[in-house]
Amino acid sequence: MTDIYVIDPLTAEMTARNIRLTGRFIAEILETPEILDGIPDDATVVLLPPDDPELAQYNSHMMPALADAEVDVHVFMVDQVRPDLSQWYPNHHWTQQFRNLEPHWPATVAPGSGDLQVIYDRERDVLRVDFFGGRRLGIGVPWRTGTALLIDPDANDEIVGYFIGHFLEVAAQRAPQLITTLRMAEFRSLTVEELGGLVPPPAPEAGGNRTEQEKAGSLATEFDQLTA
Amino acid sequence: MPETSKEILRPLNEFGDMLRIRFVREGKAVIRFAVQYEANIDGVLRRVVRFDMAHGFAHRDDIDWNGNTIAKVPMPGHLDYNDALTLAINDLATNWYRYRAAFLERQP
Repeated sequence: MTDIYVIDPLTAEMTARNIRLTGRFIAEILETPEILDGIPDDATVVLLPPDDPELAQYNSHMMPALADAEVDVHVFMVDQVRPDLSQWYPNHHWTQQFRNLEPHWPATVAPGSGDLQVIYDRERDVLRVDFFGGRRLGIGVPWRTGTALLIDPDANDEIVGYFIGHFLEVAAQRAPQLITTLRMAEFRSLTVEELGGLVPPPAPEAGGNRTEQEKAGSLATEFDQLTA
Repeated sequence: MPETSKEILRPLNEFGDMLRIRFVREGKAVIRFAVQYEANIDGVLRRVVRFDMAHGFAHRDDIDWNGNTIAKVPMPGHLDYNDALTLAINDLATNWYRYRAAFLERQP
């Protein structure tokens, strides 16, 4: 049970820093009251200071738990650049709302003919599966090890596709039935848009770090074993 | 012009302590604001101390376990908003832990 009388030094330090940061936030509001127009009543505002990365990280870590508690969380970057003209203030987005993503499958995947789109990026060894024919560009969200989801945040976090990284080097060897997916795949590089903001890790060299001769020898051996 | 008010919560730490800030506006301008420190005690947010600031007038309210003000401590008179805010924030940043400890001692 937490001892409510004892505050650890880190918590004490961050609390004091957050109080001072709140002072800066209030000063900004006094100078630019329009900031309040973009913040709902009773909202919880998490402040991110550009000049205190340790505090910014500490405050960022509080956000998921707050969102889980169904609190209306908004993020405000302290000392953000203001629009050039004060007349633009009412239309400026001073805060960003924060919420946890809740990915789920849509009622129907690939609802229309041609909606299932599979792309294999050979250089990255990444397989991309899209269930909506590229019509819905989702946000890429890392999921379990080596995989990522494409999520449509404007449709209640529906899954519109997914990625499997290290596809041939790892995934297809664990689940050989996936290999046949390549027969319906388009072989090309994934565009930045198609990656949905993700940056896949570099893929190891095909066949490992061996010479071309060693790789050729290995392929010859595999053929002999297959045809024996 | 009618007055409008808005409250904002500021999470301070992973214990769940908060600052509750209340702004009162007349049109665009802020005419009064208050900063209240609330401590999360066993899952319940309890008001501990409040700094109330209006033009030329600012004070600190110490609060008991039932939410009643038990002491009103005036801050130096005729402060403008920024000076009052600076004084209040410095006081709170320096003394929040003492205010919290004193509040816990008042627990019935």
